[in-house]
Amino acid sequence: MSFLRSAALWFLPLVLIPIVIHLIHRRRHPTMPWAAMMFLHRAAGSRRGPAKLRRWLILATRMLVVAALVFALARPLSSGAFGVAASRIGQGATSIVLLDRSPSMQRRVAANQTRMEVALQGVQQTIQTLGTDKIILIESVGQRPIPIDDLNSLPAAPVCSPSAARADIAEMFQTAVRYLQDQDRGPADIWICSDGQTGDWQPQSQRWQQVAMEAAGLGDAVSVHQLSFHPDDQINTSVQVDRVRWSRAGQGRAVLISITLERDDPTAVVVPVRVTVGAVTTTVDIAVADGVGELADYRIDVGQESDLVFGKVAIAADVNTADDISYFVAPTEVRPQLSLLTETRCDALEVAGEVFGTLVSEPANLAESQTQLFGDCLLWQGPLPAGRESESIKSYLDGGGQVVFFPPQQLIAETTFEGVGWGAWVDDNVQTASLDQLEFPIQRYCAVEGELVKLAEVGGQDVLIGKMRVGTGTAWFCGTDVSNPNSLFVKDGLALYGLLSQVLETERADAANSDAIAGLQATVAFQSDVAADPQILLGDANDLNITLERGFHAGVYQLADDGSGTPELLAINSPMEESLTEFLTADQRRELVPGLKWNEIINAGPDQNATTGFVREIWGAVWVLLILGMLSEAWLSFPRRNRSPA
Amino acid sequence: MDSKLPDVDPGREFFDPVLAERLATIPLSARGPMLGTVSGRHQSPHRGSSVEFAQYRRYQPGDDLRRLDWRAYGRSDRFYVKEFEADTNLRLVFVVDASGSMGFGQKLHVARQIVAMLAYLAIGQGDAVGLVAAGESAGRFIPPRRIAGQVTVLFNELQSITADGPTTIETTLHEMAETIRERAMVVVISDLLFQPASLRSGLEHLAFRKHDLALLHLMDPRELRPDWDRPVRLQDLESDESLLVDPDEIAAGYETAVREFIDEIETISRETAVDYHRVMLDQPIEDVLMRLLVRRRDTSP
Repeated sequence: MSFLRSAALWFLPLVLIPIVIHLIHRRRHPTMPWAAMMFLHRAAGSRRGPAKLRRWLILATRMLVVAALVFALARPLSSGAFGVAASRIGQGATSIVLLDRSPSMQRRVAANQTRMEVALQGVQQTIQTLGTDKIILIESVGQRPIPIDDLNSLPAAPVCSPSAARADIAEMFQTAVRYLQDQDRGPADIWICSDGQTGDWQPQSQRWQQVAMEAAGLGDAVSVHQLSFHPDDQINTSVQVDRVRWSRAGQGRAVLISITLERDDPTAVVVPVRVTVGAVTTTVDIAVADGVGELADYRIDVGQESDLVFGKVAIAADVNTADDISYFVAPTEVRPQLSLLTETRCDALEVAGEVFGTLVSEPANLAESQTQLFGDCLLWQGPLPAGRESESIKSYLDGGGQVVFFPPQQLIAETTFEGVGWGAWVDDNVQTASLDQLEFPIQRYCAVEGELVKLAEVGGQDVLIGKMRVGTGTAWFCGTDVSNPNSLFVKDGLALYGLLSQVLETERADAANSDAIAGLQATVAFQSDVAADPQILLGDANDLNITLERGFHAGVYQLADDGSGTPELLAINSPMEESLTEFLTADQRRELVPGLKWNEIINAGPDQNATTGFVREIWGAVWVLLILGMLSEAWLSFPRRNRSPA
Repeated sequence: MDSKLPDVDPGREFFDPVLAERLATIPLSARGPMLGTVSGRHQSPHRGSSVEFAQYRRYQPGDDLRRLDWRAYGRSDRFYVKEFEADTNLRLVFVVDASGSMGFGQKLHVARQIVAMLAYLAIGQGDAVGLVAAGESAGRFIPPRRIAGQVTVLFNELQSITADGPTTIETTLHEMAETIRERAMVVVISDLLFQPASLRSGLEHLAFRKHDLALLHLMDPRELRPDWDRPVRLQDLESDESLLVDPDEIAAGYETAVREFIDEIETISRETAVDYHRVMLDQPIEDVLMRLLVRRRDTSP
């Protein structure tokens, strides 16, 4: 406990007054004649203990009352560890507030109050109580020292609003330490308003070692006060769009959306999810078991007129609304590019290529050509590549390409690609093969041999179609003759179209994953690009000055036109790791910067009275103590009624 | 009451003649046969010449032939002597505690009142009354007499008793047991503020001599329920001892001590067949004496 007016504690010796009065009173007793001394002698031996205890209790309560009165005059402050801060008032200590604005701080811990609001309000009231003049705010988005003149405006300030970006506490701490080193080397208190979420603190970050080294020079002049929230049992569910891609299956244009739900509870539940694209909202139920629920390739039909498709996926608001909405943008739709390399003219492949995309020109020299000229898919008919050709194809596959190998008319024995080759041609009776659920006739084929995933087989044992991963791409092998127009495989056509459809779907899925990585990189660039001048198309940051905090609020943004004529869209969402319930303990946080004095504020969680500061004057408690002491003294001093033995 | 009440000098503040007139309607009775020197209203252990038949007894040589019942001889051919109850007077001895504790409140005054009233009534009905004060400054033993001036002698002695020093009642009781040779009624008036064991010894000695014992226990209400409201220093009336007492400290233990003391006294009285009366000083003296006289009348043979 500490005191705002500690000089009043010089009056503490006044607690001896009751003892002095007691001693004086004992010397002023009257003398009376008495006959029944034998009763007194008998009584003195028994029941004297409780009476003596009662007398001492009366004396103690009187001293307590006087002490409470003196304490009240000294204006006591609660929270003993923070008394250190109170004692610095006279030294003009600076208060630096590190504010974590990440989504995990949006979790509600009290009625309509988030962790960030509770922490901010507590720090604000504490600093007001202490009367600190110099206040510096370092928040997780800007990460710059901002002098604060008016504490009352702090909760409503835009720089204290929730953001969708994770916080980098290490960098914020380093900023604070450097501020103190460069501009203010006096005593200071660093107030950390963070829930200790592992993703925000990044305890493995190398930056903490730098912070520790730099903070070591500050010595005892700096104290760190960190806020801790007790884990609560409220269940949070978060939603995220994993992948968005175009689909051409079925009629009309559609996007396929893959959604993941994560829930802090292993109980199996069904969560209704609202998917909004434009003005259309549909609802789909996703089963969640063991804390995870997934929905792959949920189809949303879109119109023909617009190339800009974006929207959001939302669940009902729960304890943390920051992760209840996930925004998405469909990638720009482009026709796949296919390249064709055949030993003889293959009309079937040319026609199919034109149907599924655009055929690019045949590279003149395969060995020396740039693999990106293959486009999205390479259709190969002829002997399997060898030598530099093989290297070139593998390089293309490593980069995520798709290659479909068809056999030549004359097979070269013992020739393989990545361990896969063809057997001898088999010309037999017409047999039936199946690809997915499509059955088709086959008469002449050569079995695909090697370690690969079997997609279609014939004769019960021979592999007709298969695929294998090579790098991040896929090599497909087909054992049918596509150069002969009379081939049943060509004449039927359906199996060839089914195969190419699968190949291109795989290519799109891989491309969507690449888009996600590219989107993340674009977000970082977007957040740091002042010239981006974004406009928010969808999101909850409409009332904020977007140009100040570009990309740190969830939503769909349209970037400035770069002259290509196609506006670029970007979806910003809170990181999924912000929904994890992994927090650093107070000790773990303390070990990150061991050279400073760390104090911990325990927040009671849902029961916390969010309207009180961490340090406050405890007049109420002192007065309650005073009244209780006086009542106790009166009760103890009340004369006991003696019963007459007669 | 057919006896003539004695004359009393006015100015005795412990004697109320009006109250004496009212109480004279109830005789002071002994609880057993008494051995008196003259005829009186109390039963004697010997057979006498009253009109009340007692029993037949075989003739023994030396018996008065006038008491032979010839009719019985005629019926049974045996000699029987016809015996009648004998009435005699009462020897009444008061033992008054004159220790320092009797000076607390009105104890000694009430003791004087009781002695004076009972002595007056006893002499009035022809009984012999004596008095002894048990205390350091006690006076002489006044043996029981039934002479007319005995009331004045007793009242003078009562007047001269002062409460002082430690109690000597145990010694006095033993001395009385040895001194009073004939059966008598011994009335002990004391606050009994001494060890009950010594009281038992004296009472047993008197009972052994077949005396009719009455014990009047004087208690001040303040001794039962002390009225101290703050710590006080209490000065013992029988010694130089003083004790600092906090009422809150002592209250519970004091109450227990008083209760145990009274229980002990009542036990001793019951076991020694003593006629025990607790006299609270705030009770009217008339009620106290009335209760005593009535109970003794009802329990007399």
